[in-house]
Amino acid sequence: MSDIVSVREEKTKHIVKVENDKPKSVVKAALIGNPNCGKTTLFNQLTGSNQYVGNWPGVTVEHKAGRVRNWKTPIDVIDLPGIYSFSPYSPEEVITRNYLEQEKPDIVINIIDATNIERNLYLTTQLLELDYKVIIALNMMDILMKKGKKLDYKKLEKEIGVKIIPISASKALGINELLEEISKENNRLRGKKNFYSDNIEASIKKIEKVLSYKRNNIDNLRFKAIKVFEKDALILSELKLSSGEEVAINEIRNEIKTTKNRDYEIIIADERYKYICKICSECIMWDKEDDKESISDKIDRIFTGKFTAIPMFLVMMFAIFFITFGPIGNFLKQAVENFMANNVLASAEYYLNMFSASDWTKSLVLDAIIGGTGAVLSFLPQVILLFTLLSILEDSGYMARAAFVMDKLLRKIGLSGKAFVPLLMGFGCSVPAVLGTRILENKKDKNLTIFLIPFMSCSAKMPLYFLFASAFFPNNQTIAIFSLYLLGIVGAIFSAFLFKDTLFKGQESPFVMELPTYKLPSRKNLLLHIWDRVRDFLERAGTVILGATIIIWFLQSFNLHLQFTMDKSESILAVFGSIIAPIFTLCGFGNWQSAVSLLTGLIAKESIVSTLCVLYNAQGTAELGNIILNLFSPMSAYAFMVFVLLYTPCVAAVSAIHKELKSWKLTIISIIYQLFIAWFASALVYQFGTLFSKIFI
Amino acid sequence: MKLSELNPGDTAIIEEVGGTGAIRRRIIDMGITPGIEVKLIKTAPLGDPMQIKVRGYELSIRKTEAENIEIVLGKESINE
Repeated sequence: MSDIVSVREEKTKHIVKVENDKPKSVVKAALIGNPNCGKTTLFNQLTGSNQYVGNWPGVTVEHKAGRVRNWKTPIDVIDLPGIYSFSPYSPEEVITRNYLEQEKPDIVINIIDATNIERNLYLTTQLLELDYKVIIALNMMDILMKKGKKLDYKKLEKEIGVKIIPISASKALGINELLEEISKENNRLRGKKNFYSDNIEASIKKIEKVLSYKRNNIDNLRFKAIKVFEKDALILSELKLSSGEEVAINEIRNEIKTTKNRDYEIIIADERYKYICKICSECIMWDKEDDKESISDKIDRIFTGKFTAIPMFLVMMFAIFFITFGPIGNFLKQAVENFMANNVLASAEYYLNMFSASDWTKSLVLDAIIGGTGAVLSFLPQVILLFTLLSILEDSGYMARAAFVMDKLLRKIGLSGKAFVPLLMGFGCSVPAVLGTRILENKKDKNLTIFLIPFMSCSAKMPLYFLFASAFFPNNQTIAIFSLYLLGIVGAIFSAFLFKDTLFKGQESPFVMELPTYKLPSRKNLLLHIWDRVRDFLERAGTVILGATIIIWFLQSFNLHLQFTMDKSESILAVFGSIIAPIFTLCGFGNWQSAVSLLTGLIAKESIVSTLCVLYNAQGTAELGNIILNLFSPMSAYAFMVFVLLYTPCVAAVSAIHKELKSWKLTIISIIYQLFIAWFASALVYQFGTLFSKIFI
Repeated sequence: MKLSELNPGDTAIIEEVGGTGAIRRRIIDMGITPGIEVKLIKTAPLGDPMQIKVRGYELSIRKTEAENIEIVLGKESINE
């Protein structure tokens, strides 16, 4: 990879040398635009597979960057979050502002959706006020034409003073023309800055003077002057105006008449929009009146209609769940498991025997490295399936509708509508569900959802439920298992109320959300998106998860004298198990075997059953069922299931949680909270259950 | 009259955008400014939020947010 890049750099250097006779540096281009304007599609068209995900220094927010491929001069493009404005109230707006201020890109590519030009140009006016060199990529001109409108972009270009290149990001049209313009330094223009009527403009000029009187070199003076005029709290606290300055600025403001419905904040936004409306009416021509219902409107009537919305939503969710965790997903999961067992594991065993490796080497390689990571890798097909489906929902525009439909329900527990999808996925597997919370832009929503996902009983806990329920509640199996799922949901709602105003307090995100027109997802976007996730997943499987698996393997394979032992009851883990076992006395299962099985459940929930099998020397689950009948009472069995339902999820899930929470503190709080609530609930069930049965039975 | 009281299919003109802070700012930035025409397409099946059309695109807004927005029914524009 790096070889290819360096070869390309060599080539480009050579070309540049011929042209300029001096080596030219890389052009840094920042891609900025509204959400849903085709920004990611353009980014993918420009960089293809040359892109990488990185973090900005200081903040752990991911951004994507990449070198433009097949182009004569080196251009690096940075994909910034989609924003509507530089207010800056949302984290995305802050990130974008900080990036522009610190990195000072050579050029800002402002991508604009031609079909939604008024609102898109609003951001452009702010970019121009901030005095950046801007080139406009005017996207979706073809769709505008289909709607019977014509846009005279040359006229618009003259009006706002920066270059405009019509493109179609999805059809890869106009990309070379755009790159051509970016390459020419003379075409990177700063454009118009005055969008206001004369009296407002005069006030802004006066505020500029007041601000620059005692301060030297204020960055973006004009932008700050406008913000001061608006009484923007953030900028005011940043500038720390003296009382003299405040008096002067107030006098300037008072020259402008305000009314109840026109304060300073509205005046600026209103004047920007009025200017935009004026130039749009000059530059856009209607060929024919377009009044008929579009296909998007028709689809929308079904997906969000009064009687069809909820059934459609349930169908979509069921379909995702069924495809991911039903026959198709399970088949693929089995295929990976079989491949690991029959090919990888078998050949590894063969070679280890050939070199007559020691018992513990064999155990390390076969049980821990291959077995452990294999168990995690077997989730990969389901992760891919789920992300394919989620990407389709996101790219097609349905996700915004699902949020629209479910918002009222989820708002009651402090979440927004979009959180429904990852929560539901939690019933399948916490790992993809936690990774799926990336669709939530608001940090509070995202973190709270991640905290709630472990309460959705994952499918790996099923074998244990079946084992215990069939042994202890043979006549009420379904009710017993169903009650556990319900208890999980109750736990989630309880935790949401507990955390929404404490640990995750913060402003509720405004639900002023754009409902974009429906469109077919692009294959290229989809593939790149899925590849990102797969790469991510494999990286974690090879690092964090592998490490954790080896540690637990060590604890269960060695005794306190650090000798390798096949007898698990002598292992460090068993010793540790017997130390912690008394903790569970109140819950009714204070034996070391239960404690050890719960510890191994931290690797994977499936291993609780297999560990119990090993520890009680049972051949298969049927025999194990008979054995546990003598060791547990129905009450302690149910308490054990409750504990399994609620306690800390497996290593893979914890590592996903850490990755998405981006904080050790929150991850540790989540781990401890799950342990605590599991112990508490399970003790409560056992103690009250026993008391109850003593009194009444 | 408030934006939250509009019936599906109704068209109205924005008169005043109330509220405070980030939510108000977001509403204004999205193009809901005095004098602009909005149309209520529908409300979500559970009664909240609302789907409105403004400046040629569609937007979802919660009723609590719409309660801060004063409107006048019909197409006639307000005089400043």
